[in-house]
Parts: sequence; C-alpha cells; structure tokens
Amino acid sequence: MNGQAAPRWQAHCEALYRQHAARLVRLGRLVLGDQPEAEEVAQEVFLKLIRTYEGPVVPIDWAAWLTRVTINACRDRRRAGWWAWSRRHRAPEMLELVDGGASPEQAAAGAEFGVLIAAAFQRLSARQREVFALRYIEGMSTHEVAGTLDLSEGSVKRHLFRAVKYLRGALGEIKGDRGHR
Amino acid sequence: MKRCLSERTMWLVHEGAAPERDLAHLEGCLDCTARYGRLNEELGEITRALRDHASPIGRDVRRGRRRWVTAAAVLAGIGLLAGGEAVLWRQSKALVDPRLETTAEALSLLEEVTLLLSSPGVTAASVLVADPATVIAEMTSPESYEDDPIAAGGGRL
Repeated sequence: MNGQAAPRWQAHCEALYRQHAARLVRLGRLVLGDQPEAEEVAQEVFLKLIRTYEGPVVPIDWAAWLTRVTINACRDRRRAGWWAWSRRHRAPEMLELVDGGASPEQAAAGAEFGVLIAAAFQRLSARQREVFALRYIEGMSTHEVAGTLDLSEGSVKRHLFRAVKYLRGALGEIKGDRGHR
Repeated sequence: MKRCLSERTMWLVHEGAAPERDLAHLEGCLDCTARYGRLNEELGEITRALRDHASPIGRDVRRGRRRWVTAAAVLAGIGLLAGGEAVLWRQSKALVDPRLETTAEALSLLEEVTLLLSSPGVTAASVLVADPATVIAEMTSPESYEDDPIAAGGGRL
C-alpha cells in the first residue's frame, strides 16, 4: 500500500468503526447475551474489515457485510466448547432473579424491566434471537434478514412470529408480576 | 360479521404482509383495532428495552466461566501435587528398600566369610577356589575340630 492510499484507507475504516461499532456490539450482546463477548466479537469483525479492505474483493455494502460477519462471529463463539458449557451450567433462575442484585424496591420501581425482558430474550433459540435482533433492533426488512442469515423469507417469518409471541407472553408475565407487588 | 384476526395475521399486518381483506377487517373491527394497538405498543416496549438494556447477564456468564477456570486450576493443582507425591514416594522406596536388602545380604555374606576364615582347616585360598557347600560341610563336620587345639580341648589347663 502506498503512502497516499494509507490515510484514505484508514480514514474509511475509522469512519466505519465510528458508524457501526456500537451497533455491532449491541447486536452481538443481544445474540450472545454477553457484553464483553460482544465487544470481543466487534473487535474481531473490525480486524476482518481491515484484512478484507486489503483483499482483492471489497464489499459494496459495508453495513450489510459487517452485520453478516458479526452474526457469523457470534455463531462461531456459540459453537466453542466453553461457551456451550457455560450456557448449560448457568442456572435459569440467575437470569430471572436479576444478576445485578437489585433490591425488590428497585425492581418494583421498574429499574429491572430491561433486565427481565433481556432474560426472556435469552431464552429464545439462537435463530429466533438473530432474526428478532436484525428485524426489530437493526431495522432490517424480512427480505434483508433472510439474505443476511441465508434463510428463506418464510423461515424468517416463522422464527420471528414465534419470538414475538414468546416475548409478548413474557412481557405480560413481567407486567403481571409487577402489578401484584 | 367476519371472524376476528388471529395473532399471526395481526402480526402479518404489522409486518405489512397481510392480504387486503384482513386490512379491511382491521379497519372495521374495534376489537381487532384495539388488539393491533396493543401489539404495536408491546413490540415497541420490548424493542426499546432490548435496545437500551445494558446486559448485566454477561457478568453472570463471565462469573460462571471464572468459576469454571478456578475449579479446573484447583483440580490441576491437586493432580500435580498427587502425581509429584507419588513420584517422590516411588523414588524414596526405590532408594531405601534395595539398600536394606543389600545390607542384610552383605552382612550374612560377611558372617559366612568370617566364619570360614576363622576356621583353622580352611585357608583363604581354599575358600576362594572351593565350592562353598563343600567348605561349609567341612567346617561343620567333627573331623574339622581335631586339629584345633582349642576345639579338641588342648587349650584346657
């Protein structure tokens, strides 16, 4: 790479980082349910971006490329042995009882609403989490989600509807519990 | 009156994928309109909560992993200690036991040699060349005491 191209390349990568880093960390956090892991995934993705930038084939739509690579990196993490072990051995009640150790008063005040919804979200299947996060958090269309995840649109809709149904049920339970306190 | 929309159809309306007749029903049915409003509201709540949530769940995963790593390290330490102890024990056994055996054998050999050399009819050369069994038989036979003045009573006053 010559002296003139390097600053342009760096500037573009930095711009992409500023534009997408927070979004990718959030996506990873939702899919994996783990903030530090999500941050590591985002770092991996941006390292890949640099390598891809230097490669012969450069993507046209960097945003879509970054999303796809993030999802794939999350899947790789999930397939790792330690990950499966830690997920299996994590007591479900730990999720429901709120890891932050908030007092019942805080929970009653609504401080833990997000945690409870996130806990319900983590009980969805990995595919449902991916589909939901891309459609409702990232704001992709069903067609785009299908393209990113290599699924048919029908399959995306099925996963999405199940996820929505489950989360609405969980929301109802959370609201019901809070109403009884 | 047409039947009210199912949950799935309602959601398809939200996704913009419902057929015209379902949209027409939604516009004319107060019950379905209220349900549709609830769907929109709830989806908005869920999405906002997930978007803003700071994910303390991750800490739990980390803590679980740290516990696992600690347990593995402790187990490995115990295994290493036990292994090292076993090796040391084997080495000490190998050093002590053979020495004891060797000492006992050497003592009994020295005893035999002393006995042989102290007997008067037996010279050191004969001990070295003769068969030990023969030599011992000679030593223990009564004839072997005949030349010995002490054994033969010659030493008595």
